[in-house]
Amino acid sequence: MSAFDIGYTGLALSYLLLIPPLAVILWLRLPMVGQTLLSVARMTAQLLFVGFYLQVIFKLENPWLTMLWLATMITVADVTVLRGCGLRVKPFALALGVSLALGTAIPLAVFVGLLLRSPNLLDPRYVIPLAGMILGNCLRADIVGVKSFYASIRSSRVRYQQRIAYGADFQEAVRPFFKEACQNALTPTIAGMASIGLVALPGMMTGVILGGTSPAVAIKYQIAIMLAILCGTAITIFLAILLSLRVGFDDYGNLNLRVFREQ
Amino acid sequence: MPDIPPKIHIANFSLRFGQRRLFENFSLTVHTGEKVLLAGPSGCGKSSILASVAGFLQPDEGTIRVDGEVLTPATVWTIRRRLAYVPQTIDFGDRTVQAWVDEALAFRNNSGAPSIEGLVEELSALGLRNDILARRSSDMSGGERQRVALALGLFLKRPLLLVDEPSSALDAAAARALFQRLERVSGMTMLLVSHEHPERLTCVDRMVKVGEIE
Repeated sequence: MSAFDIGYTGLALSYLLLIPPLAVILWLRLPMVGQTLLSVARMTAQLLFVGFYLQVIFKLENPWLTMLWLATMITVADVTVLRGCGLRVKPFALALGVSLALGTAIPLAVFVGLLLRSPNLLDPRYVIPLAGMILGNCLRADIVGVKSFYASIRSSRVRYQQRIAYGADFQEAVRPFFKEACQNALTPTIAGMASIGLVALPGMMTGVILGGTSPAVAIKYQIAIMLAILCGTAITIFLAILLSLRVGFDDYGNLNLRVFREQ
Repeated sequence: MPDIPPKIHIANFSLRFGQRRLFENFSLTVHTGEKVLLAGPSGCGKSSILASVAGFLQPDEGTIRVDGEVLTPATVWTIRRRLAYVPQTIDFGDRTVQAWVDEALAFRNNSGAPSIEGLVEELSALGLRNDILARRSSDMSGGERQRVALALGLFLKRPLLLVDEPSSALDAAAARALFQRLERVSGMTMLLVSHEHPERLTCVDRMVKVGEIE
């Protein structure tokens, strides 16, 4: 059994679901009609493009094409994180890119290689959707964590310098800010795990069930993907902050204010 | 006997903030064991000199030497290990003094710090009672925080002590006790910034006037 195709008529009918939110927005005169319509249009166009592109990738099963797609996803995530953090893209792009790539690749390799035992580690049918889920969560964790780290040191510059003034070396001086940022980044993932299944059925599980698989199989996938997401977010936030320190601070260990987009 | 380099030697120091020039070719030499007051009008950049010696600000031109060693990215952490810098604004988060002190004493560089009794003596000499250790930062006045920070700076017994406006939030009696304590400091070189009238600062050996350029 496979998922029932809702067809283009069904897809067109799904846009009727926009009536209630637009009615609320118009009734309350919220200044977000244009933004909502633009977002819906973008979502539609992007997903249609991705659907088409993925069909081609799945058909070709070319590892280079899969890697190119993954690299594109990571690059877009990289720029999105840095814009979301209020940091300049150029100085941090490499550090963040490496952290996102490793945060995605390590749990993905475990998932595809050890759990699915796929002989092809770059099988696009597994790699692209799983990478998307892990990377999406890494992106959110990085925005929260990296932003928290640099914003916190910037607003607590006196406290940071004071630690150095009383004998802390660089590692010791940044440690409480590092800890706080990692905690802020990991908390949503950990809290989400605690409530999953009770409050909401996650997207992957829903997708697998709609695809015709039994819920017993779906939960196994879901548990594994949740662990992969936690693994990926922990790796990426730890590396993102660690690797960005070289550009985030000057040679004297002082916060480099030039890395902020708004000084 | 080899020549001992001055504790601090600042040469041709120029510093500007945006379009505003604070210093142009400023020079200063502080010998080992000397206590020097930097005096001058508010906003003239006295505190910037202390921050620069601690490596928190970099001059646009000129050099800073501590014990003959030029302050550079390669030497800044070694030089910082030899100094304590007590800034004017103190922020140790919303926690007790004891928690802050414990954390500071756990830094690798402070592993050889003397016993905690010495800190209690320093607090007492600055007019603070023992129970200050159990108080939270949010329950303390700015003057109390400053004195706690100075007590810790003195307690660490670094060869070089940089103190920025230690009496700015103190009443006359507390300020007197503080300067009396600084007068008794020995075996340290001290660079002090204060708005107090120089005649009241008997704790220093000499005064250097710092004036605004523009």
